[in-house]
Amino acid sequence: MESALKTGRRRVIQLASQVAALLLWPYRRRARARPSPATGAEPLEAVARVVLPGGLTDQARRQVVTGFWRWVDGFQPDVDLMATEDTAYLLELPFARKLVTARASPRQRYQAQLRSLDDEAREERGIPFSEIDPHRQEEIVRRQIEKAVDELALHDLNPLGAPVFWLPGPAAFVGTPADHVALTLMAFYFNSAEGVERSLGHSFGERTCRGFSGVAEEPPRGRF
Amino acid sequence: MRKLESQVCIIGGGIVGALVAARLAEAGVDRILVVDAGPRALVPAQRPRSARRWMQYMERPWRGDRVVARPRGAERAGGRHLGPTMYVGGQATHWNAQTPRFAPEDFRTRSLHGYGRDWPLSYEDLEPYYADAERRLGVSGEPDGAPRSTPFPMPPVPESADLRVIRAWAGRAGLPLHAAPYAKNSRSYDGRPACVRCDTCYVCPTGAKYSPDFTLRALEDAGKIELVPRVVVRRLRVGDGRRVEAAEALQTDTGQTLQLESRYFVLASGFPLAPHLLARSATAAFPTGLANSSGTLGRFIQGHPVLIASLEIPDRLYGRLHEQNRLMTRRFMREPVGPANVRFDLSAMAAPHLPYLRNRAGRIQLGDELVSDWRARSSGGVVQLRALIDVYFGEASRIVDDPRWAFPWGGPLPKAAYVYDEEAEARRNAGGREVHRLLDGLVARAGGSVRTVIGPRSHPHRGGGCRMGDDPSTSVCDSFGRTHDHQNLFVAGAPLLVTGGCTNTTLTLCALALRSGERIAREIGADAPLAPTTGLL
Repeated sequence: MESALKTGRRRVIQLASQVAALLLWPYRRRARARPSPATGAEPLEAVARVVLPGGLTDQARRQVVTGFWRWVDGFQPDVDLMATEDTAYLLELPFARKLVTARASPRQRYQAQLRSLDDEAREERGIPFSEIDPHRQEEIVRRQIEKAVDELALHDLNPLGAPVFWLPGPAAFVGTPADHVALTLMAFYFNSAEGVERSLGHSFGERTCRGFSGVAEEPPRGRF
Repeated sequence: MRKLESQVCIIGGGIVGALVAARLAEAGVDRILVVDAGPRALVPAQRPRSARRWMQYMERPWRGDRVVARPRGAERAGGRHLGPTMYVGGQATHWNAQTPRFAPEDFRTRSLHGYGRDWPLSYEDLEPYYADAERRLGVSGEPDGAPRSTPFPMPPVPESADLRVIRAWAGRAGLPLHAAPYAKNSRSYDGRPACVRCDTCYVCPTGAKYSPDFTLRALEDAGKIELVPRVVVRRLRVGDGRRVEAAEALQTDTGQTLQLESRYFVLASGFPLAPHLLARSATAAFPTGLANSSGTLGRFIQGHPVLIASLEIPDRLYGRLHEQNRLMTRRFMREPVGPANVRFDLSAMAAPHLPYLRNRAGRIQLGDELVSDWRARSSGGVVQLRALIDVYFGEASRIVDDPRWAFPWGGPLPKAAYVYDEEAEARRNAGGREVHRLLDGLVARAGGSVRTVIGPRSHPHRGGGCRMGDDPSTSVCDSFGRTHDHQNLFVAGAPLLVTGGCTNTTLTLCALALRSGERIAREIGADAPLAPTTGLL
């Protein structure tokens, strides 16, 4: 009798958990479709290993990725944006300028692009993007960046109208045909204070209202 | 309909409108009304956040500085916005505040060099007002060869290592450069702090850079003016005796019509709006527009084509030390070059080394490859030189109705149609050749190479359309900006330009505005003495 009761209680618990699982299934499905930052960070950290300097530690790279997502989430829709011509000194400024309005955060688009990296890796190797070899990672990322850049001639971003190849700030890409998470991450990092400091070896403190102390001397050496 | 009455109605709350208002108020003129088509500018406390959002997200920092145009024939607005001049404070809320004076020769190009047109006043006539404008704006600079009765109100901000290197480099080629003057505090001045090198001058977060809304706010707080934003003047109405009786206006946020009645009107709405308004105020008695008995209204618009060059020099430049600060020389404004007497100003800055996504072979660079390329290019220096070349545009260059776009409240937008006639084209080409020759000479003597040259092209610092002159048959206004045809109507600002000059025009427009304000004040009977000059230094 007692064992039958135990078996019964066990069965009830099993049934209850199965029912609970069924009830929770839509929420879990939505949770998978809306990856947690931890899930979204993994392929982006792999992308970061490709596009950012090799000297970054894992922790530093994670901090960059965290900062990038924080920047991504800071977009405000329905806000007037600067058009290139607003500060373009040489362009024939029409009295009426093009109206450009901000769109929503590009997070969903970027997560879709990261999923496509995973899809490509799984199709090819059966493993996620973050686990394939670095050379293959670079090939895939490079191809996707080239495709994005080809769709937007970079000189369109240069107000001087001359064909150049420079990497503007990340906001310049958002909403354009070149809006790819790998490209924007590069722009985010290499236009950041840390990116400049690590790359050029000096700390400039740009845009930080730094005063004039030391302005006539060589800028301080970078920390990296 | 609401009526606003005043003794002086200033249409346009930009830098010249603000200075006219200030001059009148100081002279004791009362009932000064200033109206502006745009909303009020961000108060200083809002500017730091606005600057950050601009830097991080490319958001327009001057919220609300736009009015949305509509396609002509359409009922709804969309697609184009008017700005950033549609804003209390106007363009000088976000200018780089470079404030050189014109050269004395700018006022006499026809009689000295055989091109252009002489102004109806001389540099010497305007000099006291230049000094006054520099004092009011708080201009910092160092002796630059311009004849002056007073020194700059402030010395220049401390020079960066980059500018020191550029100075030395140009010096090797026998070209002395000096600090460009700016309306930016190098020390606390006029209740505003010193510049602290934020390098975001498009929106100064500290108030160290002069902004016209500071003047307007101070006048308002002191009860000296009434400032009404979001008021668009659609027509001026002339009564008997050819005096302007009223300005018919629209309050754009409420839709209420306004009638502005005043003893004097000062049209300070800038280029091309001021000449456009006069043209749109045509009546049967004035079929080609007000103030247009000469037929020159809207014509002879001016500007100066610009050439920008990047030079690689062997000296190390960082380019990120103080990007908004430049050196310049007035030599070629005062000593024309070549058989065509080409005149231009020349300013120099250190260009930052930028990360390249593609290398020169066209390959996309990632990670360490990008860094290596960036570092390799950063061992030298890139100097960016800018030359504003003096040309003169003839009668064919004019303001026309834009065929495609209209104001949301009706009426076509203005469009500046520049035409390079034979003379202007020749001057532009000669200017380009002479600047190229100068660049080649610089690198040959001081070292380096010319990397890129763009221009001469475009026409920044545009103006004209209501040009000054002594002869009413060939000009719209006299040297005080008073229209020849309507005794109580003045024009202030860029539309008055007779020639475009070859340097930034704002300080000259400010000086003219102060002179106009003094004249109006004296006519009203107010006491408007100007500080006596002691002779040119």
